[in-house]
Amino acid sequence: MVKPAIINIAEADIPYEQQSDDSLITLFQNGEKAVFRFLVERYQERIRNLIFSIFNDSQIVDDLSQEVFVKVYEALPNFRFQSSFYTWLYRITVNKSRDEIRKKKVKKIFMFGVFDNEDYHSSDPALQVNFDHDDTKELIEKALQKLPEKFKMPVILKDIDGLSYEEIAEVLACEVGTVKSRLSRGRMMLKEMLKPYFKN
Amino acid sequence: MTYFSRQEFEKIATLYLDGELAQDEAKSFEAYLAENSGSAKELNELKELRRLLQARSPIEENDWFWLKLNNRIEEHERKLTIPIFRRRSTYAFSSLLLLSAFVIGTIYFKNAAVVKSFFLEKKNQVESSILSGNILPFFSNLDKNKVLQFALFGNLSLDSSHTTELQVTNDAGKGSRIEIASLAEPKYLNVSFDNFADEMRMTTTQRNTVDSLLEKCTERLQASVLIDEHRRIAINEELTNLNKMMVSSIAASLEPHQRVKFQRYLAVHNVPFTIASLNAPAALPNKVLQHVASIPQSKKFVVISPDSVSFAELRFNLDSIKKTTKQIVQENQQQRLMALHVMRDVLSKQKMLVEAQSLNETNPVRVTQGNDLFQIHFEQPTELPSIQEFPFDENSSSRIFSRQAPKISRVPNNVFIEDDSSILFELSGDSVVLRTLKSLSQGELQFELFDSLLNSPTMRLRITPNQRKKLELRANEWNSKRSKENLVDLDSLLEEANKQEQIENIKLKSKAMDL
Repeated sequence: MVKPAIINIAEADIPYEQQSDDSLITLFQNGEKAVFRFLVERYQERIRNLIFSIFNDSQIVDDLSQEVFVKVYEALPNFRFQSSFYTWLYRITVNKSRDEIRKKKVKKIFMFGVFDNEDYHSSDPALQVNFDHDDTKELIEKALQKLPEKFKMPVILKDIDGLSYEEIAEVLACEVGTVKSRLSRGRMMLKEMLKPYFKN
Repeated sequence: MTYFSRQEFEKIATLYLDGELAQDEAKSFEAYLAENSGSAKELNELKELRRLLQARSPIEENDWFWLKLNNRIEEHERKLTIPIFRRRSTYAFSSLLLLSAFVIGTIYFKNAAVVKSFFLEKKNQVESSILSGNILPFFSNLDKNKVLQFALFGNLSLDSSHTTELQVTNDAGKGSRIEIASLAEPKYLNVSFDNFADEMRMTTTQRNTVDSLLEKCTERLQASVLIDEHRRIAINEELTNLNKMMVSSIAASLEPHQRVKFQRYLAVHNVPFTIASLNAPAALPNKVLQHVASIPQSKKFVVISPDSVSFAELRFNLDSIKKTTKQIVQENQQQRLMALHVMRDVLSKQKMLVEAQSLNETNPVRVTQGNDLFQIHFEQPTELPSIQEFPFDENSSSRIFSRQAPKISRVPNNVFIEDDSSILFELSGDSVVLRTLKSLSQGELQFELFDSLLNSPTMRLRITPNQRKKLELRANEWNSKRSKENLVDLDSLLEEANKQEQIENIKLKSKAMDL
């Protein structure tokens, strides 16, 4: 069911900063390209932080966030209001991030000839975090980075960004049941990796 | 005692942590935790893990983010707008185009005689019609501001001082009128498209749409009033509906909230149109423009020469007229002067051969002329099939109503008498007034259902000025009797008005006889 774009007549006189996402998008679709700035400013930090959570690499954050918004700019004229703008934006961000992860993997293969296995084994020493030298924040970041992508995304979207199960399912294009099982598995894996921390 | 497998525990702990367990399930899980210290500890670790994740400090804000992104978007758009001939893939297309031009050129060269005769035939079509010699559009220097002014107010200035003008009036009840009149002072202020667009808060797309619409209508307007070398003027009958169609198309391209503004604009500026489809969604630009382009131009013209008036079907080739216009304007700028001369000639003639002549049997057209007024009156309130308003949706073809600003003089009961010699009845359900009106024969009175913006069924009756006077007198009587009598016996009232009128006519005739 297509949700119609409704412009409240009363919104005509509201400043752009205070107008709803749907209203700004409708204006954008009607040719007022300048309103895109207000959408970007509304969500840029959330998207930058989401990308930082996924990659823990400040170098990549701005570049990838901008790629996301360029993609949004291209696709916005065809936005049909079937979902909320921010879940749609998150979905684009997650897809862009997945593409980036794939690119990195290919690079790794050609550079070192080593394939990074996503399957989780708690006994794998590669997943163990060294607690002797890292402070808590860094430990969390490292543990998060060692989490396979399919478990990492639900954990980030739920525990860091606070999305509901349904929203996560929409962003990741999967069933709510899958979200629940991946989330529980991801949390357990993180807990397992941070075992020494919890012991202390 | 409840037992959970490892997997079950993981899932339930997650749901419990997120507050997704039902109340009884949560209680049962809490009971399980109370008995299993290991599981309880694990749950606390999960809680701590979530706290740690949420406590992560956000990445430092980037104040230059928008600036960089904007540059990137601009660069992206530049890439998309690279002219087609600069792309490698179009070399083949260009070659194909050249080849086609060569083939067409060869065919033309071999069949030059046929092509020439085709164009001659087209030219003859024009020359065999009532107009002869060079045929020129009367309005050759229209810009979008003037066309917008015509759309809104139905008037076009014929001279630079704006004191001679062509005015189109289209009234739902009275029929349509085209007037050419000398005015003591300009009637309307000049309209500016940019100011209008700003006032409506039009988006760039809407501006472009309305701009294209005005451009298309400029051509149409130019083709609606023509003059020839022998000082004949031909005025297309569709001129009376053209502005209505334009207003409806402008309204169609606006969003509902802008349409409300447009409605207000029309009311404030006394524009005689009312938009009924305020809530209909904005039409796509191509639909609006396609609608205008799809309307064929009417071929019926009122042809006026300094000493005759006729109603004729003219066929002409607008492209060839445009070409001639260009040549003449380029050569000596005489066209405008000539047009004004014709108009002055017509206006200065005291005795027109046709003072009030019916030119067309099926759709009466009357031409009248005074000292400083020339009027073509299409008596029926015509909705020309060739030129229609923008259809907002499939179920309704007409959403713009012509109206006169209602000036109510008396309000007895539910009856409103307007200044334009018509009365309005507000009807509720099956009232006696409605039944009375239904029983009236349409020959005696012209009446029609008028869907007003008030969303109440109203009925408009057209009556003569004499009848109106009588009605006004009766209205006062009704006012005094209002408490006793709520319903109007319209039949007897109109009968009385008619009788009075007949008596007055007889009196006038006998006076004339005496003289």
